[in-house]
Amino acid sequence: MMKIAVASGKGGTGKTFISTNLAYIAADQGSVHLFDLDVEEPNAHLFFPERVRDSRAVRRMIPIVNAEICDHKGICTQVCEYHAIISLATTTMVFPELCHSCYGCLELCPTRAISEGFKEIGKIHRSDTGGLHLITGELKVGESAAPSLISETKTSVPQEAQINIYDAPPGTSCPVIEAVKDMDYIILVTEPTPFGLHDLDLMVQTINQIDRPYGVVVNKSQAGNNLIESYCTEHGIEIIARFAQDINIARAYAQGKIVSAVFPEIRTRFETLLQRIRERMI
Amino acid sequence: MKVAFTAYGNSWNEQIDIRFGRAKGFFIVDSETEETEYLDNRVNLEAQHGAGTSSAQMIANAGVSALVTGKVGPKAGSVLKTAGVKVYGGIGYASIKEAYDKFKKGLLIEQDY
Repeated sequence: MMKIAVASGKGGTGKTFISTNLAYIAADQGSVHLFDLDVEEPNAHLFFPERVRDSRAVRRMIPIVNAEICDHKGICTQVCEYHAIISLATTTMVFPELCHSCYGCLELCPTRAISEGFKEIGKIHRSDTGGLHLITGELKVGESAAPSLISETKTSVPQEAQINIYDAPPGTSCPVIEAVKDMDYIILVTEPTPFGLHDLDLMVQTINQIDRPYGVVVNKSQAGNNLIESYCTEHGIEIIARFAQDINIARAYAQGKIVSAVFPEIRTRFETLLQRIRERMI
Repeated sequence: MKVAFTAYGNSWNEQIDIRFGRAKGFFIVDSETEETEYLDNRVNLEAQHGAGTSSAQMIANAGVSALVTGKVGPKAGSVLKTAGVKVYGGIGYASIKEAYDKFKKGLLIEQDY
């Protein structure tokens, strides 16, 4: 089994373009699980419009305070790093949106006034499209527990596939780390713009901390624009593929088509990309 | 009664800090004696999460009955309401002295949360 994450820093560089196409051509070579971990706005399913096979809710613990037992001494408040449980003179209040489900208050309450309650943070959807199995995490609107849902989504499939591809969320904070921390290879998708370069640099600094192999894909590349090339040369980072700015690709993609299924030359590029990643992992 | 002002420092001449949860400190005046005290709020100013709820608890535990500030969020607002602290928001840019004078004259509007 190999695990490949597709991440970017900046949004809109083409993570889903790369991950859906890579999954599509990888499915010809073996069983594939494509995980959509962009849980705040998942969209990989748009390219695989088969019916959802099953969905399940993901729940997390939140404390419930028994007002008849609670003596409002506030040990819970003292141990809560997130200020999600507030003890006042005669009342103790819980704020589920702030709670990180650490069980600290529940374990340490001297009067045992706190019990386990649950809240739903999102859903995990699964569907099959031939040899490709799509697993989508979808965070409930207003919820902040993206890393928990990402972690659950990654581990929600009982059987293993030969190739696992993970479409990571944008940014460089906790949800991204959760998505990419245990990968065999990380693809960093960027575009040759100042913003693309800025966020690529943030992402490189982040990945250097977790010490996983990675390479850069320049998407929407333009002849004569060497912004990303200069940066990668300076930092000794490999550019593993380039996809040119092309209105025909954009048009097919915007229609929800798998670009590799439409353009044979793009398919070849993705096959080369997958082959290169295999070689980098040995 | 005790009136708290979100403040940039421990003096009547300091400016009101229009943030609540991440205010620099709380300047508290006893309206009967005009004695003052100051609570540093660095611990919440630098908190990663829950600065509002935690600051609200600090205010409630200090025995404050009224809070004068810029704006209070819904979670902190519910803690203050439960603790019986009246909130006077929308103060804008003013010194604590100016805000206190307005408060005493009844010129500030109580906010409901």
